[in-house]
Amino acid sequence: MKSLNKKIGYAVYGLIGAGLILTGFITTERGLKGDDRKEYDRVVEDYAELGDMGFDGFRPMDYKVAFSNGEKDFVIDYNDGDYEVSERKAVYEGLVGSIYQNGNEFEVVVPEYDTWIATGSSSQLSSVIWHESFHAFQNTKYHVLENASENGLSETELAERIDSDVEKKNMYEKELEILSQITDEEKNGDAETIALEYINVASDRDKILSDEEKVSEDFYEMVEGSAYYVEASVVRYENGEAAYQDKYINEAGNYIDGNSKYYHHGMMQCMLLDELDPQWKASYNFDKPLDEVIASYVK
Amino acid sequence: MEIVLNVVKEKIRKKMLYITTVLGILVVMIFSSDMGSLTIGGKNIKDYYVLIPILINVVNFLSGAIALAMSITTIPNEYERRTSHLIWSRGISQSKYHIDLTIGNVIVSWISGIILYITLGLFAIINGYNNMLGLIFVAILFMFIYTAIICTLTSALSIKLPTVITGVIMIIVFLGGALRSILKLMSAVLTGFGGTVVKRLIGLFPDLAGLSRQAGNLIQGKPVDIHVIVIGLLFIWIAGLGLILFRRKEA
Amino acid sequence: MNEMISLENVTKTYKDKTVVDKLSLSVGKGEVFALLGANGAGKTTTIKMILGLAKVSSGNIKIADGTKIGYSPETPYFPPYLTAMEVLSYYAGIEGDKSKKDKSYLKKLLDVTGLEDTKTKVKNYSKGMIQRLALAQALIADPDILILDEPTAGLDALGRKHNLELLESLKKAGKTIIINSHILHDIEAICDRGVIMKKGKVIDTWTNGVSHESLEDKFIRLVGEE
Repeated sequence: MKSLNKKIGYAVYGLIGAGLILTGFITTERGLKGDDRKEYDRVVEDYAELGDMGFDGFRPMDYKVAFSNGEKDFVIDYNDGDYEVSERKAVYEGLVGSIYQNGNEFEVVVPEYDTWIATGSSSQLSSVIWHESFHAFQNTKYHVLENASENGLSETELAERIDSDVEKKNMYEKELEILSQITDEEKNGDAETIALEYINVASDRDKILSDEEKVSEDFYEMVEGSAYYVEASVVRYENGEAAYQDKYINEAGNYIDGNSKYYHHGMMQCMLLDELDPQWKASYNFDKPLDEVIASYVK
Repeated sequence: MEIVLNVVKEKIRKKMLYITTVLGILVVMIFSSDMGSLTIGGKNIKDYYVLIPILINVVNFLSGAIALAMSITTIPNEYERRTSHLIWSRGISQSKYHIDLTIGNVIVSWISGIILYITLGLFAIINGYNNMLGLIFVAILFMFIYTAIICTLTSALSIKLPTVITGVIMIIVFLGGALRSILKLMSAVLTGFGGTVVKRLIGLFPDLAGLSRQAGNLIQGKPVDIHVIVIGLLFIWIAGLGLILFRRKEA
Repeated sequence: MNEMISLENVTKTYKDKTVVDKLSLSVGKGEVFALLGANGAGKTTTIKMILGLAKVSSGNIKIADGTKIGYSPETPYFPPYLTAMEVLSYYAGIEGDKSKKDKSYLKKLLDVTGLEDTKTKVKNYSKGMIQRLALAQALIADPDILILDEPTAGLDALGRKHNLELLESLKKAGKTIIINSHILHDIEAICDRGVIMKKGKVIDTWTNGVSHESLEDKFIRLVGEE
């Protein structure tokens, strides 16, 4: 009797285990995860409201978006309100938010939502997709990387050079300070004055920069600054004014060692241009520095 | 049942349980009141609604630590004191003996966890979040799974391994599980074969962080991932199998 | 003789060390049997094998079907915060026989072993009282065989006397008793026969009242010589 009870006990225990394994198998999320799908849906919803933000032909859904876990990519291909998801070996290992050139196409690669959240980032993953999609747009339509100067420095090298040169650093700090007036609602009525003041300082500073430094700064301000500008606009729409001010505006005028100052600088250049001419983006082909565009509005 | 109750009685008499529980209550008090401030991303978190998932993490971690500290010596002590002689000689099987001792520990960890959750509930009321109370008490179920994983794994290992080795393994497993999300993130930047191996190893830790996250999601009205719960239960099942199969050679 | 326990060529080895070496003995119903020997002779290991606390490496141990065994260890540990009644109630619960949990039954066991049902916790017990409690818990199931490891060790004269009287009454009640003890006077007072062990082997047998040589002399002669 005792041994029969024991056998029944083992059988029940075995059944519970089998049940758990089966349920575990059934509840395992395969392919694209729900949270990643939600982030992509958010991009689509944002677009319905934000449109191309003045950059003619920009539509984030035109570019495939890969959610990567470092081993596999789950790639979304959007098509008329619906999208197909495919799976492939990860094109980048590790934690990446970037674009990837697949033949002639540029695709967006971002981490999966779980990983993104674990980074403690205060940004919504959807805004990162917007940022990277904008790079895909810059490269698909304007071939910015292809046309980039061969003399260009890497972001890190450029930042290291400027950070360690007191004069170049101080003058850049000055540029940021002037540009940041555009973020101050009380002052931004006088965009032309700000632009003039900015161009004067910028041209003085250009004289002390080497060619490669000048080319590289112009490039990163244009490419990253504009993408950051797009990203900030998305956050403003998704998360509201307070989050936008807190994350993108309040500190933008401060000089920070490293490459983020080019993002801030470029974003504020775009904001200044918005004040100088709300239509500036329609005719901008990412073929000249933002400084030049600003200078063209200064009499 | 006698063995289970005896473990509960014995542990409740241990001062360690009280000290840890009082410590836990203090932590909850400090986080919940104006005395302390928790800063995340440069922002001061005062909103109890935002704070609650973090507090749940802390409370579950403390309950897990209590579970580990209690379970690590329970079975070895029985053999050390030779209490086992009087149990084995009465024809009680090793598996029943070990399972009963483990259940006793699980119950005590639950009791201490419940005390901590009651503190959480009280502070929710103080902060004016009465509506959260019901969900906070449902979230206790996640703590039950969390501590049961630690108790059963520790107990199963302690049948076969020396206490120090069980301790080292379980501290690694406990911290690995509690910090699984962070470890996963850190390993995300690793590449190559080594990176794959590290990621696989992290996958072997019980997802204690995930359980706390689900409890937080429940309270905040976000979707709860059933998979994390099922895998948690599976860990308990596997450890339970260890309790059934692992045997001492002598009493 | 109605055999209750028999050991045939029982051997216990730990790694390379043989602790019990081809031990054979049998104990009949109602007998009080002594396991004698110096420390390390293999007596406790033999008891552990009979009780199933240690596995037999080779050989056979046969115990009559349906035999209930009670065991009183040499250094018993009882939860210090329990009273004697609570300890007995705990072990009675483990036995799984509800009738044995009955308070009046357990009180009788306390009386028999000279303990009282008071609120005194085990932590305040003397060694002698703990020894008696160990005996009381061994009696819970009303066992056919009692195995007692050093039942009078560490007791004062009164305690020893009481325990011996108790064993005598148990013997009269027909219990089979196996005793492992160093105190040879006690063995002579209560046991019918026994074996003297050395290095895991039986080196001689002893039967009460057969020889003119006292057990102590015999023991010293056999065990003392190297």
